[in-house]
Amino acid sequence: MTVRVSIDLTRCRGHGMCALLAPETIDLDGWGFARVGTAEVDEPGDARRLRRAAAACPRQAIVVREVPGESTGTTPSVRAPWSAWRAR
Amino acid sequence: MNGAAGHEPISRPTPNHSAMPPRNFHRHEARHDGPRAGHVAMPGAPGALLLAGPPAGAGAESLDAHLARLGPAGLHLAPEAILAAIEAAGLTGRGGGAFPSAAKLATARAAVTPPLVVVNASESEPASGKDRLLCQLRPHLVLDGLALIVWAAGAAEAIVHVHRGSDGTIAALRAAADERRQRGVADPRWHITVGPDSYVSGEASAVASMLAGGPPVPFPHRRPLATEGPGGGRPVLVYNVETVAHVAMITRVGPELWAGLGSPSTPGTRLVTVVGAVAEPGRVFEVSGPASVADVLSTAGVPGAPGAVLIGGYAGTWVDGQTALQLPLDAAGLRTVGASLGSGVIGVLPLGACVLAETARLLEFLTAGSAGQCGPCVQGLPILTASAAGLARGRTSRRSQRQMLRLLEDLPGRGACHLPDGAAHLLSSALRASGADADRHRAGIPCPPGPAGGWLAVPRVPARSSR
Repeated sequence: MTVRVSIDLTRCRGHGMCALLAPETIDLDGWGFARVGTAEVDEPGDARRLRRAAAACPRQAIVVREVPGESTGTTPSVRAPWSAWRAR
Repeated sequence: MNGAAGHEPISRPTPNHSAMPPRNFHRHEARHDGPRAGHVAMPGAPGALLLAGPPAGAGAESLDAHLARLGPAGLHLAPEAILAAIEAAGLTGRGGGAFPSAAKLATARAAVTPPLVVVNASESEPASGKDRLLCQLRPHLVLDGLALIVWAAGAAEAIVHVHRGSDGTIAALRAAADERRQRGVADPRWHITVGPDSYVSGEASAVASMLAGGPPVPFPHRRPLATEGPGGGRPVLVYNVETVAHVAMITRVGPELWAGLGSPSTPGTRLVTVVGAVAEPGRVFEVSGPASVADVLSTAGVPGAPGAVLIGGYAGTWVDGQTALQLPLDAAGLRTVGASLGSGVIGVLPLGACVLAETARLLEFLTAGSAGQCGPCVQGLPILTASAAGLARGRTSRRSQRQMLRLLEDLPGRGACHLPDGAAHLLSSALRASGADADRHRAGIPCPPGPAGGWLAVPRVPARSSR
């Protein structure tokens, strides 16, 4: 399962929780704002830590999304039934 | 696509072809001068397409003259056929992003909610004058394009977004709208909105944010605007004025002929605004065929080689004069030096002018134009500007230069819009283009001062005017 991470820099205020919780994906720049190394993460452990970092962000500035179409079937799809209709 | 050396007459396509050109297609082709190898035309001069017709001094073209010259817009085409024509033409956005126009339209058509169509005439690129010129000289071409996009996108209404102080544009569009109403042209419902004149407020997502009642600043959107507007609301389909004018031409002359007027990497003609050390700064030219930067410069009245050329806009790319003269003015040619056509601004510096001094002034303008939303931009741009200004004056330290180089790597991609990317790119290209000058500056020897206010005019922006 590949996930893609992006930082909403209009929200980030440099609390730095993310870099502690997901150091392999996110580091901090000179001012302490989050910086993403690789936007796409394959490794399940890294993805799990990334989700934890996103949940811990006091500003909710981290967005972790599954990359569609690459599901290996290990994780059940949580897409709502109307999403197919919306994406029409 | 037709090559440069004269195009073949296009045979009448099969009637059920989805991208079937409109009826008046042959007639127009007969009237058009046809593509020439690398042509740079002034408004009304032969070789122009968007700006064909009366010269600039004649003011706005009347509806009668417009229809007599070009015939009706292709509104008899099905929406799918308009989309197919735009796709076949390979039109890309002319506001600066160069995003494929057909892809955006297809996204909007696939969305559940019909989009709000926005024709972006805010032209917040200070040096650019092409959108203003189009609205004021060829308002009916712009309104034809607006109607076509609204029809093709299945939208109900449209907005023409201008910035504060665009009274001439508003007056021209209103007069054109009255004319059309009187003559019974079936236009969609549209109105004009006025936004602030700060640099970032003309960016597509900033316009969308403002129209949704938010602040006129870029917002981070993970889905395309044509799928989902600000706050998950109505999708917004934002097109630049020149882009919609091209749509109005594509449906008339057909995608093949239109694309043949450009080069393989940049189909169609393109409008450029030439500023700086030229005979008449701010003039707009229409470039067709495989024209080069040198062609534009010679038409604009630049004698010999320039010192350096800024391509794309005030957050564009500096190219040294010798390199610039060799460059073709299309996407593929400009990519070889890391530049892009952007919003079509070409800034010319004379020999001996200091690229770094100009850059420092432009950076100051860009910094003041920041919306102040993203940390790296708020913290980084002032430092970048200060270190560039120090370097331009020959008063720089190792520490400042190290910091500057680190910022040039750190800033790109670190914002809701591309302002930090643009600022960093401007300065890195300036360091490259200034060559030996930069070394002299590092050694503490500044260039002799240029004219007061510099070569490239920068509007005065009070800091954070957009908030």
